[in-house]
Amino acid sequence: MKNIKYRYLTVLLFFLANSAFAQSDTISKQWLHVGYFGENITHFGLSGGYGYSFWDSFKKRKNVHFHQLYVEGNFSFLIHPNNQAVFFLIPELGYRYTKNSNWYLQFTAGAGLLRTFYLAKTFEADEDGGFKGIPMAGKWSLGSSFSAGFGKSIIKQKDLFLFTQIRLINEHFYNQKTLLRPIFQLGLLKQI
Amino acid sequence: MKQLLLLITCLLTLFIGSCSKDQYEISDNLRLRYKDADMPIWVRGNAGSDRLVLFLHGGPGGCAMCLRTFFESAEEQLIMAYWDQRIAGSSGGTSHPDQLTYLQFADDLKQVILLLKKRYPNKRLYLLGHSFGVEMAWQFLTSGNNQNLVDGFIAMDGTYSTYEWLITSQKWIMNEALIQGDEEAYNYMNNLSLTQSNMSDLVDWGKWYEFIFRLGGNPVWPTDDAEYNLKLWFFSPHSAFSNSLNSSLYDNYYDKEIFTFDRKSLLSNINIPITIFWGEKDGIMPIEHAYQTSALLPGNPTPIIFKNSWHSPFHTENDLFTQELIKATQ
Repeated sequence: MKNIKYRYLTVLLFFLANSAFAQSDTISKQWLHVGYFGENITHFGLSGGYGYSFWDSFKKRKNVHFHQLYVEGNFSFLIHPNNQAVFFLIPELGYRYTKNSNWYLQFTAGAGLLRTFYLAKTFEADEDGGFKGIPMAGKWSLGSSFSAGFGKSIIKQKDLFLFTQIRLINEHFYNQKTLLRPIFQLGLLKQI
Repeated sequence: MKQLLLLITCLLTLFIGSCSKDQYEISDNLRLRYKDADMPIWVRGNAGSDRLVLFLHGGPGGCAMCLRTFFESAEEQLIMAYWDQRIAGSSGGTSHPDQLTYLQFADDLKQVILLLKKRYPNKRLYLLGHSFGVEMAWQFLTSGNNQNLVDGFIAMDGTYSTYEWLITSQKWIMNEALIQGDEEAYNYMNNLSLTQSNMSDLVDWGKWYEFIFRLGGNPVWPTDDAEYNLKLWFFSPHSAFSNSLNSSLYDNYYDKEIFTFDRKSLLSNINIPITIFWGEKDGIMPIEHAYQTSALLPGNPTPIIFKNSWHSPFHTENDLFTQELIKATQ
């Protein structure tokens, strides 16, 4: 009698454990993300993007391991108060490794455009001492971007992730040099 | 949970702090686009004041707004304008290192002054130059009728001639090296026979500044202070990232341009009020140079000496500096 009880208990535990760690053998090919994007808390901004995976594979052993290659379009901006607002349009290629749909690691590289708007009244001087106001003054630059990020599933359905990402964006050209902007991101990624 | 709340509170405090308005009445953000450079000018201070002081930062390649914290007391009575020169501070654009010439700096300064005079037509305008900012101001004031555009100049720890400065600095290094028993520095300088024609070949800037700092020529910097750094990185319009790029663009300036600077013979033409501020212990720009400057100017103005200061009296004796600045613009 005692043995039967233990057997039931073992089977019950097995099912509970199995359901708790049950894995899907598929992973979404598309997602949207939105979140904080800034050089720090006081040079703040937002970022949003859409990602599409064009290749993926998975291996199922003890755990399920997904590998994905994807393209992502990102639109972001940040504001440095009393200095400038910078808008970023950067498409990227990325690699993501997802384990058990619970968490992922990803790396991206991309290139795109940056547009700066000065948070100042801007005047262009001519050599005769005249000044002309320039509305929406700023400058266009080319940008390249590299990032590493980590995401963690935060709901039972495992299609919503809280992610954080460290990014380096190079601004070409800034006074004939490349300006390196370290960026911190924190946001939500929803698989669709 | 408590830790998370604490973290969120700290982050919100930082965020709100960064958005807070300035204490004083004028808060005017300007940009001057001129010859490939987009140069910021931040104007802050007391709207009721009839005196506007344009701060000319040092370096070259330094920054103006990054030092604002030392002029905030002055802003209670004056209007301060902080201008980041081309390829300096938060200045952007596509300016080329070949444009880092005294002529161009003086030309830029003229445009900044004209812009400020246009926006603040009824204010008296003073220049406050520090270190390289003094060189730029002498270049400007001794060219054409430029001096008529301003009401006065406060020259702080800066030179009128690279050669004269090097000779004075060489003496200071040898003297300090003798006192402090630094044989290497003494012998190096003692063996250097500088002339105006050979100085560009003989001067090794790395060695020169190594000796100055080793002998205590300027042992204190604003960046030694954690609070200053916090303010700079989080609560200032200054961009430390872009500022860090600048130094590598000054190679040509230090190889060639700096050796062309000499306004000695032209200082006697100055007819606007000049005030000389100097840190007595300055080893970068030794105190003897204050008196040499004075001797060249009409009326030989007596230098105002900051006895407990090195290269930056606004940093080390801020209260006295503020008093003297207000006095100098009255």
